[in-house]
Amino acid sequence: MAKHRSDPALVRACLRGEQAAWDAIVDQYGRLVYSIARRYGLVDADADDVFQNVFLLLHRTLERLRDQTRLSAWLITTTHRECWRVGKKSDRYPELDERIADVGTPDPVDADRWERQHLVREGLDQLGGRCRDLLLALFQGGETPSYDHVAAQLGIPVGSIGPTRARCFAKLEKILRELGVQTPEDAENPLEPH
Amino acid sequence: MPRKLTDETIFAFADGTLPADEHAAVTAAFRDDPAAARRLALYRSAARSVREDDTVAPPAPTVVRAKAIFTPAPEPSVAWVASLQRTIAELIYDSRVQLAAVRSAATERRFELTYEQNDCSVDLQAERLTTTEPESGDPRWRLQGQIGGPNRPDELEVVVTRAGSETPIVATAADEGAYFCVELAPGRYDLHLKLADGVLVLPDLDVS
Repeated sequence: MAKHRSDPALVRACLRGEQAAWDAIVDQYGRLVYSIARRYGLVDADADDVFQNVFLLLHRTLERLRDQTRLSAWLITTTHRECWRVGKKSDRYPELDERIADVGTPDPVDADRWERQHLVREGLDQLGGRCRDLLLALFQGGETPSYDHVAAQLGIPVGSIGPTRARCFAKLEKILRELGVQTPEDAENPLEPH
Repeated sequence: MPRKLTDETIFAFADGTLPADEHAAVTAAFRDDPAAARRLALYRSAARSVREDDTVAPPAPTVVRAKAIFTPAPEPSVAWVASLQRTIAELIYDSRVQLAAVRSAATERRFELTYEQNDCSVDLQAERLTTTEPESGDPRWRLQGQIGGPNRPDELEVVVTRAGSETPIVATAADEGAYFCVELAPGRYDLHLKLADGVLVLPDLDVS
């Protein structure tokens, strides 16, 4: 079954009073929120403040977000604004104005990258099991992963990597599309190495 | 005739392991096959996202505090749990039994059960979480379920009790897809599902 609850389903469950749904939202998006604060250079205590503020705002805004298909975009913008607000109250971050050029909106390139990283991580988590382990090992292996190394790492025959990867990536592809991941801009020019 | 791009070719191209003499033909084939080009782009994009992933997990106390922000709904009335019109569902599938021979970390982390009774079926999936019980330190479990069949009610209430007890531990409602989710400490439980014509009990569920 391994059903993944969509964001609107989680929000509606929260509105019905389900603590488990709220916990799932915090688990699912906590890493995204916390990482933005750390990327802006906030120290642990301030990142923690941002984290609590963002989820408090989310809790207060749940009714309005009832039909929001992807909470990640709302969370990225809200976290960005909270980082600036919390950061400006401290004298620890003289460079904050350089890091945050537009207080209202995060840099679209950063926001896109953060959301994509979050969705890929989420997709791999949903995929789970050996498929997740294999794709992670291949992805982390650089642009030319060593099949011998991946096979040794996972304890599988080298010859099984190809067919298993094709099967696993087909599943991940489906999950990513369901999560709303778009084909990247460079789809028309996939021939350049990345 | 244009070359057909197989999965093997697409991934060999992505990995940079394609023989040099095939490179030009495959490059041309991608231009003629937008679906394969999109697949390659998504694969490379996912790989890049993983390689560049600089995310940091929030500390556990930070997460616990954010979870405590939530105000759960008032306890619903669950008097129906004690209904006399109770039917016991039959366990027809337990992945722990099916996969006993290939026991692994994955099978111990997650298992699936299917129950049936008349026209009603209930699929359950239990997954061990990384969060633990505050006192015992035992890992908590997430139990997800979905009820199917023609007698599926529009609104489904679910109550979890200790096995053999009628005292609710958790009460929840299924969503519009008849899906529900609860988190539990390790233990043995009964699940009570409120149907139109009585209560369906999934007995003695071992979550551990």
